[in-house]
Amino acid sequence: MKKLVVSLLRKGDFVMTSGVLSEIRRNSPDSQIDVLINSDAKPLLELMPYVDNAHLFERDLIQSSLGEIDRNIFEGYDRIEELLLSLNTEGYDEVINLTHTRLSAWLCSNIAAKEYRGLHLNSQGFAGFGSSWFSYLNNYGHFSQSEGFHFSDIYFNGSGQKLQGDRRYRLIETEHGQRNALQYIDPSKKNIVIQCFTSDSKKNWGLENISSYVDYLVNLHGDINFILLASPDEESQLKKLNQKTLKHCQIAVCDLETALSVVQVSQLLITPDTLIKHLAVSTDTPVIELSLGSSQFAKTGIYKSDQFIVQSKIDCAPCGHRTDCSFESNICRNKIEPECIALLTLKILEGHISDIQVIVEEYKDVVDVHRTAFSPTGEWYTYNFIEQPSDIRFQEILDRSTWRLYLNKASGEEILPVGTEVECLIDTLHLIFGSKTSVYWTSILSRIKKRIFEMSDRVQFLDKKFKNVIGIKDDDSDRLNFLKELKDLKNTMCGSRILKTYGFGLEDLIDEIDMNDFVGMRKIHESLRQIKARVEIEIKLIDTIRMNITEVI
Amino acid sequence: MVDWKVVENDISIPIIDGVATESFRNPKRDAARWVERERPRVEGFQAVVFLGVGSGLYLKEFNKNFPETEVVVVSKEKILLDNFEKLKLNGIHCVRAANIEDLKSSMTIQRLVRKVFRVLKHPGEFRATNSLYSEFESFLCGRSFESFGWHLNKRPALQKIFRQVALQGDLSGRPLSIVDLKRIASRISGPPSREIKILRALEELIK
Repeated sequence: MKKLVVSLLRKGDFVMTSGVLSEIRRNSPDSQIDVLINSDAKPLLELMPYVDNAHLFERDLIQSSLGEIDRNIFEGYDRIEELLLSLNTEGYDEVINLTHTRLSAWLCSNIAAKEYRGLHLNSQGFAGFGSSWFSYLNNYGHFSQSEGFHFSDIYFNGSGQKLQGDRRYRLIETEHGQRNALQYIDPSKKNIVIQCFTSDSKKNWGLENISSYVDYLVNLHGDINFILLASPDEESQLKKLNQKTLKHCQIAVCDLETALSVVQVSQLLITPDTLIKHLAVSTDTPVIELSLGSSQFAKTGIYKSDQFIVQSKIDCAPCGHRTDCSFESNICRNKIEPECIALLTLKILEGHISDIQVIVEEYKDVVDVHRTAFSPTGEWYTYNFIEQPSDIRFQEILDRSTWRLYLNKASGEEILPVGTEVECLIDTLHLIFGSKTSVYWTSILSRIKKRIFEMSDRVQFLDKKFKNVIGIKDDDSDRLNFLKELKDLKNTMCGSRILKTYGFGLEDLIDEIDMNDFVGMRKIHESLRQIKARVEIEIKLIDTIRMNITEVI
Repeated sequence: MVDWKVVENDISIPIIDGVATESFRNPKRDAARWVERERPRVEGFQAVVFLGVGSGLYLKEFNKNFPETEVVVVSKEKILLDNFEKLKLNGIHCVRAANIEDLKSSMTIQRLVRKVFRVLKHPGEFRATNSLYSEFESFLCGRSFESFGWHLNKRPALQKIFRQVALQGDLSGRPLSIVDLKRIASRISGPPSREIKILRALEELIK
């Protein structure tokens, strides 16, 4: 069996696929597992011995050839053609595209294989997904911070791997990395690694904050060796830190192999949303993730349990990936106070995790501190230390279960019996809110059910009416009423935080509705059917939870 | 007209129409520095085309640093190419071209255009023969309308697609840029062919 896994985004995204790659290797030890990656991700292959061959996409060279006048106009074309020729000599059984971009879809559709998973184009030129999980990714941009699944969960499910066991990313340290790491580690002290910079300046915590953090911690704890990871370009900026701070720090300009080993033997990593954060998933080192700028921790957060994610309480967080910060100085950066992170660090180093709640309470007006966990059904999620039960939060949790059941069923995967699913859900709710509050759950669930029922009636009504309005004249009152109802339904869903995830997918279709467009109308019909199916699952879950809670009470 | 000046270590520097192609003082050092500067522009390419040969020092230095890279050297001066061939360097093909037609008819160039290559300029000889060599560069890169068509001839499948569009009135004589491929690719109806899919992939990188 020959498999090709395609990952054509950034290096961090490739690390996020390592869990899937190693799981495929574990399940098919005799298979050939190849990857198609951007050439700049090549150094990461040293850490992934379970990958057999890598095909490199020379993205930078291809992109620059398109614009530079002294390069052959067909250079990009020739490079891609040559790459595809080499891929097609392999005769792959399966291509798994974990990229979900149009570029990767066009490329995958030119790679001959018996089976495809992930976005590709079929022989008619239409998009195919190979799994409903990848089709779900199509609307993923609509999902807000706390909704939806982590990308790694989607990759696991979509590529047909089960959400079970230890699914951390698998990166294997090298001798070279271990040897080099020793020069930065001080065995007589606690070692804390700090990743100071990211590729997006909005995600940087800032040197002033780092300097204050180091000073606080030195005062609170004393002997700590701070290792500041940097690329060669960033080294000069780090040297601008004041001498008092630098006295306690070592600047580590090193390759990825060394960085992994440095993190592995340290006691803590402080990092924004970076490649280093993803590398740390494969280690046992605790991580405090600083979620700044456009970082969406619910989708790309640190993918292991019992880690900490700190995000400032600000309406614009997370901001758009390509938009500049509208404030003079990044407020989200300044709200994460060095003192707060220093106190968190101290508790983690001392192993006093239960005391962290006190710190979270103290800083609750400026930051949220989330903890990471894996649910009994296998999905990664986060919860706030001081979270109270609410309709919205319950709906988010129910919605995730509903989606998973729906998507697994649509993909033909095995699904848990509702009773078992609900037991797992109740465990998750207990972990997040504590068992004392379960008496309030029934009223929350009743309210959610009522809202969903109201919407469901309208969806059923529109679904029944659908066939009657196709093919009738533009000015027919039935058709106009149908359109009005459809738009009203969309507005109701979009305007409600409880119902809005039901509207994803339908939203764009209705905005561009043309009743003579057969494909568009078919998609609307499919969306209505999907909503109906999800409603059925969610109502079943709610009823079973209520029954179980009543028994407990 | 080419003259020669013998400088230190018995190196002969060609002078074309009164313009010295290399420095009279330590040309070897200049060549080594030049190759180092060009290094990032060469990595990742199967072949390079040198426009100009000069004394041959630059090519010799390049060959030392990139022994795996195929080199085609183009010069209008036969005397310089003859002088260079005496160095007997492996993997370097010489093409004498006094005009575009010479380039078009060269088998070496026809073979080269299907490879991923980069154009490098011998600084001194390029300066001395600027207008002709600029024309060569534009031709080799397919950036003029005429050369675009010539490159297209070497890629029959792509030529078919462009002809199809030409029938619809697009190829009206103006120079094409790669951005035009986007529009051209989207004009083709029916299930996308392999070539169209590659063009569409490129389109994504233009955005």
